[in-house]
Amino acid sequence: MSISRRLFLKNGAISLASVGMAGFGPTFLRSTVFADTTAQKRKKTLICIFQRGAADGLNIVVPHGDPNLYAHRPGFAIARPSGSDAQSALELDEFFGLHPQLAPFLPIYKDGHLAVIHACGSPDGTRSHFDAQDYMEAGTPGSKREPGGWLSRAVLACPEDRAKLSAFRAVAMGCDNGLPLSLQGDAGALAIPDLASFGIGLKNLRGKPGAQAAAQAGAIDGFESLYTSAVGDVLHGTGQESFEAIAALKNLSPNSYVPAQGAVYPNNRFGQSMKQIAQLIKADVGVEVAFAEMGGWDTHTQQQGRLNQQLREFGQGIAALYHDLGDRMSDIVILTMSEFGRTVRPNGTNGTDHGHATCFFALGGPVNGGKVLGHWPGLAPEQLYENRDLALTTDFRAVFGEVAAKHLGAQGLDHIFPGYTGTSADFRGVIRT
Amino acid sequence: MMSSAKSATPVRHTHVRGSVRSGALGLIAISALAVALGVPARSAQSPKRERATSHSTAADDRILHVLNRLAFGPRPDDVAKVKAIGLDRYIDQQLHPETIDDSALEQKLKAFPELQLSDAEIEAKYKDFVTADQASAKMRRELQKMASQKAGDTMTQTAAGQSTGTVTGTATPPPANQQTQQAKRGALQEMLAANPQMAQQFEEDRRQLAAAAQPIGLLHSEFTAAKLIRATESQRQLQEVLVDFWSNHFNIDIRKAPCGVLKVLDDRNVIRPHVFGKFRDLLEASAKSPAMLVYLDNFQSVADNLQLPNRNPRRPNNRFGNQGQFNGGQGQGLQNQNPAPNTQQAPKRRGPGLNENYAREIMELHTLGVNGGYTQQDVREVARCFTGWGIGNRDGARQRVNRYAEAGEFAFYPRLHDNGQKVVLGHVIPAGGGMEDAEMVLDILATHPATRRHVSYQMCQRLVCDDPPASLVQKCMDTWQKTAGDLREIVRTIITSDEFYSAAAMHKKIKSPFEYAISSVRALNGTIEPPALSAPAQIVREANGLIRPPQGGGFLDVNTNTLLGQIGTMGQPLFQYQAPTGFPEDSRKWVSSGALIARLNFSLALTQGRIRDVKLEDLAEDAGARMEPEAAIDRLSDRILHGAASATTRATLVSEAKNSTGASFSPATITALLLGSPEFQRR
Repeated sequence: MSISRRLFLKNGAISLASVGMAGFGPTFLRSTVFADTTAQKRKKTLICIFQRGAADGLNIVVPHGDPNLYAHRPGFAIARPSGSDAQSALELDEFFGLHPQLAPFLPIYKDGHLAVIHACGSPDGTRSHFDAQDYMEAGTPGSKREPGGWLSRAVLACPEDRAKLSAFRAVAMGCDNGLPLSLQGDAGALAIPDLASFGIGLKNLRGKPGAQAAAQAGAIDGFESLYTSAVGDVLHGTGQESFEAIAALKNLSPNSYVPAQGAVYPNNRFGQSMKQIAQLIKADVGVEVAFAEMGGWDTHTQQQGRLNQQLREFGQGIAALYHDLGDRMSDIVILTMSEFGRTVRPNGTNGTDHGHATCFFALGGPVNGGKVLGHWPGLAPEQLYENRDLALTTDFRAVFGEVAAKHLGAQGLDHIFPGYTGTSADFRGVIRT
Repeated sequence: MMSSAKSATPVRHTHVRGSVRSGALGLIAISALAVALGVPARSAQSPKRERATSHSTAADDRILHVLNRLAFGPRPDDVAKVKAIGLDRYIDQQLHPETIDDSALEQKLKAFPELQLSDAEIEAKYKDFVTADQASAKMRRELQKMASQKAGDTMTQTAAGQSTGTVTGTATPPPANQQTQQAKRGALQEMLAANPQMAQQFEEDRRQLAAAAQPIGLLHSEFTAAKLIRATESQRQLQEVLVDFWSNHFNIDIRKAPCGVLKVLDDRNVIRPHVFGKFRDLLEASAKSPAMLVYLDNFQSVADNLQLPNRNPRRPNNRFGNQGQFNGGQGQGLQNQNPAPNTQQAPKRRGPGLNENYAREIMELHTLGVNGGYTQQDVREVARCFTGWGIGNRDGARQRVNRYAEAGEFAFYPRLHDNGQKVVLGHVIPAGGGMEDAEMVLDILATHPATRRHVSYQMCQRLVCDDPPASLVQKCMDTWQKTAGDLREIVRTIITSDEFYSAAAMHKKIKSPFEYAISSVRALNGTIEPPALSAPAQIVREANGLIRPPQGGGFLDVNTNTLLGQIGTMGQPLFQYQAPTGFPEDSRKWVSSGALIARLNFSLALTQGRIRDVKLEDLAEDAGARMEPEAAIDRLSDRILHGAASATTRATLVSEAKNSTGASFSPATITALLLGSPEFQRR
């Protein structure tokens, strides 16, 4: 298919999609008939969000029904749900509650589009952030032998030519260290520090008058011609994708972007990443996996205030993304992750130290939401991991694997997660069937 | 079994052909010859030139190919230089780098003070760094704790005030995180103001830490700058290509402390002296390299069930993460040391024991290859053989396994060694062998047919093509066997083979980002002039920022104003590949949209003079006699692509230059297009 044909289809999808977004609220469940009429079936998209620093799952999704919680964390655990106490947990069910700062998640949960996977994480016992993040992103707990990340392998494991379709098929947005390990690998991926400055040449010369700007514009055109004409060269396709990506972004104005449905993103780096992912997805440039990250979860001291702030930004950012994407969420899954959890008992400085299992969130139309998934291991002293941490009952690969297989359609779990012996029998039912 | 004494014998280059040439004389002779032959390089009097493609001959193409593989690409006059002395002679010189004068480079590198330090001096500074680093981490934690405690109180008060409506005015409050930062800063200042003694103490500590921590940043920046300079400017190009190859084969990630320091010694003592030596010697040097011993954890690996008195099993409280399994992977990290308010007993820690990391990688990556026929049992047995291979300080004191402040040089610790019998790949290693156990393993691995195949294959991948033909690999294996693994002769076999000059090889490798960057600078006859040579204070600050990974992650220099940062941005942060595999030798892995966009940006940045540590010739040197776009394209294409430009590329450039609505392309723009062209992505 020629560039123009592909772009035409994508642009066609844009206009149809914008019509579909005229309504309010996440209407995707009601708009399936409409979706079927679009010229091109929309691709599935996965947005991964890494909480770097190890998030305290026990105070994020609170097992208030476990009698041991308040024994371990007197005055430190989030209080049992109580309508009169603004600091108490928001009831999810008779056993679990949400941290009050995650109030934006509650309606999504109630609508059945948000699931929690608790007591989840890496079976590897390391308590090093560096190792644990690498293991999780590589998809190989305890091993550093596999080059590249699980997400890159998952993209390649998807059927047909989807892995070749777009330069934007895998995007890391606003990540601190270039391309995160998750996306390193054979699939190729774009690391976009900031959508507003992505492209070739100096940004302040783009589209400007003057000799210097004309020279730059000429050079960029020249590059495009070189790669377009280099037919038969493996770089030809890559070049074409790149210029298609740049062309696709040409008319994108990140600075004047107006989120849909009045979504308000937090005014910080994480909020910007969320907003720009939404913008990129809405531009229909072929995003299949997007990756963002948020640091600051390493709450060794004064956890209460810090976690409040972290979760406020986290909850607002993700909820804004969810509402901004509107109908499109019928084909999108947002998945959060963190390298490990934190100690069940607080330490001597009103914080928590490095632990083991934690909780992940999954949001979106395809998500089997309104539930806390997985098995609760219990918090009795003998039920703890190494007598100090929440034990693990769900290997993160079962969650990543389910989303990759059932949502993206990736094939071959053992290839995405080398050495993993789990099967679809280990899936927790995160994705609707 | 081979004697271990031989490893102590330095590789000696004796009586090599051409060694009578005094280096300086040789260089002058070549230059004179080049001038006499009318080498085009900078003579502005040659505007009339044929199209590159038309006057390029098969012989020239072979020379270009050699310069693309034995060197980091040609400088503008290199093809003519090689033609002048003859291709065979050039190859022979490159195989015997000691016959090539490189005094200009050596002189230039003398400007790096840290690199002049001896191993012992570097270690001494490094020791301070580790101490300082630990102390500074502690200090930061304490400060942070106090500040956030105070800030938390303030924030809570503010929040309470807001919620009860006592805040007057309609001004929008700053974002929460900004508020917190302000509160923290305020709290800290308040704290220090209230306690001048504490303020003084903090300032003094900070000053001392800064002083002690300096060398690591400077060392790091000098080391990487030296790599860039050597690759760009050394006359001994093949040596630099092979140093890059072997450094990648025995990959070490400098982010794993203290490998940032130890890799400098590894480069100096392990890789460089052996690239033209015997594989067995290189392998042993690597096995004894403190950097490798730390990177792949062998220094922590001790006999299982070892009973050691008075051993503190606690791992270092070091945020770089000590990845070994020395005591079950517990208890490190940024944990607060205050006892938790609970009465539960601390979890039981496993005693010290075997770590299989190095044993596995030396077989999988360094020698046999993943399909080399070893089993998990072999991994364990090899690990047992290597127990006690560790690092010690120069006073020969007992190794303190979990204190790398003592890391100095290789040391064998008999008491940590598993002295039982082992069986490795079918060879019985009798009990009681001590340090010789692992030396026997090195013999077994170095002479194993799978090693010959695996390592030959990788050398061919680097020097020839991504899928080396079996015939070529077999030739290498034959040479290997005949010469007992003489790496110089194996390289010679490769680069004099028919396969080397085959159509399947020429112009078929995609350059790595490092190769792409260096070959670009060389094509423009540029040099590396890092700010370290002129503004050490600044580079120290920057490097210190880099060498300390942000909490919970790695770091990358993505400063696109430096060559190093550009190479990192293009996907190859030097010495920072986390997995022991090293960067891929299969060059197809470098092809991706994002990477290509980064390369095009590099070519623009370079030609627009935005990479501050690269010094180029004036790209518009011929502008005095303004050339027609077509002539300029041919001239620059000739200088940069040496006839490799396809007809399509030339036609495209010409038509672009003519169709441009504004002025015709400047030489800088044409240069950028040529460097960004598909042809120049290959070697």
